[in-house]
Amino acid sequence: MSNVFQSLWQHQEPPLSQMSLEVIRERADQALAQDRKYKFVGIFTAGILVACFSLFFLVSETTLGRIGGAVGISAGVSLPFRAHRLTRTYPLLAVALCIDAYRRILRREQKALTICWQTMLLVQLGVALNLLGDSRRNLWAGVTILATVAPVVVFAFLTRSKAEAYGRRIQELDRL
Amino acid sequence: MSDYLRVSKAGSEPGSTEARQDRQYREAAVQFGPALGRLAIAYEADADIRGDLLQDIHLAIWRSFATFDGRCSLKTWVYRVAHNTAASHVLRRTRLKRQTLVTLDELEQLPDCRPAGSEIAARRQVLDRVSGMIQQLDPFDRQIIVAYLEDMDAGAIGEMTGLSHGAIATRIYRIKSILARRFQQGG
Repeated sequence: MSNVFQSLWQHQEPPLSQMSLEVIRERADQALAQDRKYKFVGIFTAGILVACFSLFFLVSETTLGRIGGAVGISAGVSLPFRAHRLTRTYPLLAVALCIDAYRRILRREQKALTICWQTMLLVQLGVALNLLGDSRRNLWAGVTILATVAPVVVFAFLTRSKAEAYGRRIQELDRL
Repeated sequence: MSDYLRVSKAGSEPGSTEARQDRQYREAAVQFGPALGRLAIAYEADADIRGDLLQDIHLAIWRSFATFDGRCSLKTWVYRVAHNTAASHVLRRTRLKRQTLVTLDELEQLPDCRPAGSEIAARRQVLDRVSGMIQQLDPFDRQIIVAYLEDMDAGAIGEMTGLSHGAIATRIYRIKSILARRFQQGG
């Protein structure tokens, strides 16, 4: 029975790559350019965060508001550094044994998601403190802060659970 | 962008490392081209994206030959690079599509998505069902089932994945029983 599947599988018409070596080199250049673009997008995003929270920090009239600004700035500054360190610490190894390479891919995904959810929470903490410091402390202000922060906090926790799922899979692979 | 694809642009002069890399790649592409195409089917259901994945795999293999030292067979090396590149692709796609992958344990519990009608005569339908089943799997289990379907023995799978003979034998036994159960029951 199993030979039937092997035979069927091996005799199917697979897609074939018609890449010449010149095309491969071109694609390598494209890959490198795309990599640089991703890095630029990351730094640009972090720059926007830092710029916005710097503005909050400067215009804020209360200590709490300034602390919120500082928290947001720290989130923006730490993001590219942590992302850079992650790619250095967990480079992907194409020629490694599959189990080692996969474990490394999962670890990298897990750490990347951890950076994401922690940054999201830090940014929301900055926003919340800034709003809390600079708005009147009444019920309406509380509702506004909650409405602003809550959706992102929920998303951050979903991201965290995904990171934990990767961690569990790594543990399963460790037991093999 | 995967680290596997980072390369510097360089021309190849005869006798240089680049020329050796090009020669080894050409040899591998001729010898394993169809197998790499089938591997891409196992890792990507969308035909357009599958083409991109296949190109990424070829690029990663070409690049890997810069460090090929012959300590393992060419086949093991090519499959290792291809599976690792494809596993990276699957996790990236899973993140974008918010898809959940299952392990072999979980696959055994899942109901089979059998096409209407009990008679499945056409090869295409059987292949589509096998491919669909593989595409639900976690990349590591996928590596083993694809290697098994490509008729690699336990030793070669071990050399590729790093798993012990015992662990591979257990997994292959389970893969066989899942395939047999699903297709015998389906008719």
